[in-house]
Amino acid sequence: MAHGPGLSIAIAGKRFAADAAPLFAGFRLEVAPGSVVALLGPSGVGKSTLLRLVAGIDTAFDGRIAIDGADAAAAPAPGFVFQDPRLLPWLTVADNLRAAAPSLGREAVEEALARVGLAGQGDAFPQQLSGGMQRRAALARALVANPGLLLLDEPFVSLDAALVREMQQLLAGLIEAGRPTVLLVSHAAEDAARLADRAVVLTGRPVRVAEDVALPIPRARRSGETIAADRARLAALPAPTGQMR
Amino acid sequence: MLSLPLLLIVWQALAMVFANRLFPSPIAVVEQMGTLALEGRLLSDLGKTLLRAGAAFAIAMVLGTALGLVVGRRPRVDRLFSAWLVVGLNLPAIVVAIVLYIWLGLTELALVSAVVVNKLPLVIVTIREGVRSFAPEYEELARALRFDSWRRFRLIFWPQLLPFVLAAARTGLSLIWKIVLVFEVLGSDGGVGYRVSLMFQFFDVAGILAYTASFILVVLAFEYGVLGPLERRALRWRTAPA
Repeated sequence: MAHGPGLSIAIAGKRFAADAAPLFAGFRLEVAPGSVVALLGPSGVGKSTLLRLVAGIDTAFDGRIAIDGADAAAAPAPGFVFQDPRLLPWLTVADNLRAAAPSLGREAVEEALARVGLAGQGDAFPQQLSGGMQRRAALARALVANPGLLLLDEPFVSLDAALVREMQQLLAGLIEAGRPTVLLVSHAAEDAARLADRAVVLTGRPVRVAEDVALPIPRARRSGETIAADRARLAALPAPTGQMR
Repeated sequence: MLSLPLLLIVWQALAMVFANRLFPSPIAVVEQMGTLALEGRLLSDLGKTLLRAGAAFAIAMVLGTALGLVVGRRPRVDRLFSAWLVVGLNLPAIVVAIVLYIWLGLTELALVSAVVVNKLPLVIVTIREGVRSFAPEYEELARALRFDSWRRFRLIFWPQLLPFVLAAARTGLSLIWKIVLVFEVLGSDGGVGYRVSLMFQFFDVAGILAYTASFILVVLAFEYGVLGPLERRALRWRTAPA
């Protein structure tokens, strides 16, 4: 059962300065409702910029990004997870969630926190949480903002291996439970091998899709071997992915 | 905790060493405060000065915060008016007072306006620096979460601005009441400065210090009774135990 919206991305042109080479030109990408698409590619290729365009954070481009037919900037707020937790430090964890979804009652906040393993932490300030807990709180905020569309910008970056595994398992469970549409930006092939239905490898300037790889085995049925095989397959893709782990 | 009692002890000791009518002890000053409050015009003068300082403080803070936000957020406006701010910061307070007294007469409006003109540039500059220090990543978060203007102000701008507003309030209060006193000396029909200028003519040092101490007590009460608790409450997230 598909829950999340479909995305239709058509970027005719995007550049950061008038005299700079375009970052995107004639770029197209379709994302099926309820699918998890990993955007892979070397650092600086434009993965995070693409995510910001989809999120409606950056609206300075030619073309159209449609989320279930609506312009990205006019569509409901996505659930966005930044590379850093980016919790508002002056608000409690519960109020950070309410900032994203003002109508949330106390019980709904507790429920959202419990889903990411932070039950009872609503009254804490972000600085009172560990790095891993802050990441989970950021994920909870994204889920209350929009459980149907998750835009994850390197959500595991700078976490240690144990925390990465913990976050990946948490995310896999949430994806199975809610069937959101997910765009997962990463430069790690393993993230895609564990979580994605499809891996899109970006390269060049202007950005183009170098590889579009289906990962058909359902997440729940992926074993250590299949994940390792998919990871190796993605990491072995030609030159543009050379910086992927 | 010991700072203020130590000051009083040193003062008392010096007053005993240099025993002179022109160097009253803190005990004599407290006695004089009581006398002036009960039999004199200390309370009404204090009220007048407080009203003037309070009005000027409120106007300067509200106007300065609004203008500081504008110049902080709009680089073009900042460039256009930055020289005005430098001029404003360096305008001698006494000159502003004299000019406004000439233009508007010896009125409350002239006095309060002169204080506001003196204080305003400092508030604007402090708030502008606060706005410049805003973290752009929170702005990005606000866009991602589709905050409207009010929520952006309440949840993103104001919490980042608050330490600067409190700093401006603190420096503002200490500056404003001194300026008000000088302007009251220059021309008014009452208030602490006016009364101090009269006492000066009689070398009534105990009276002068009684008036000064009274006002300082009010300022301390405001600092520890209002600003301090407000600051602790608003910035409690910084000191929450890890």
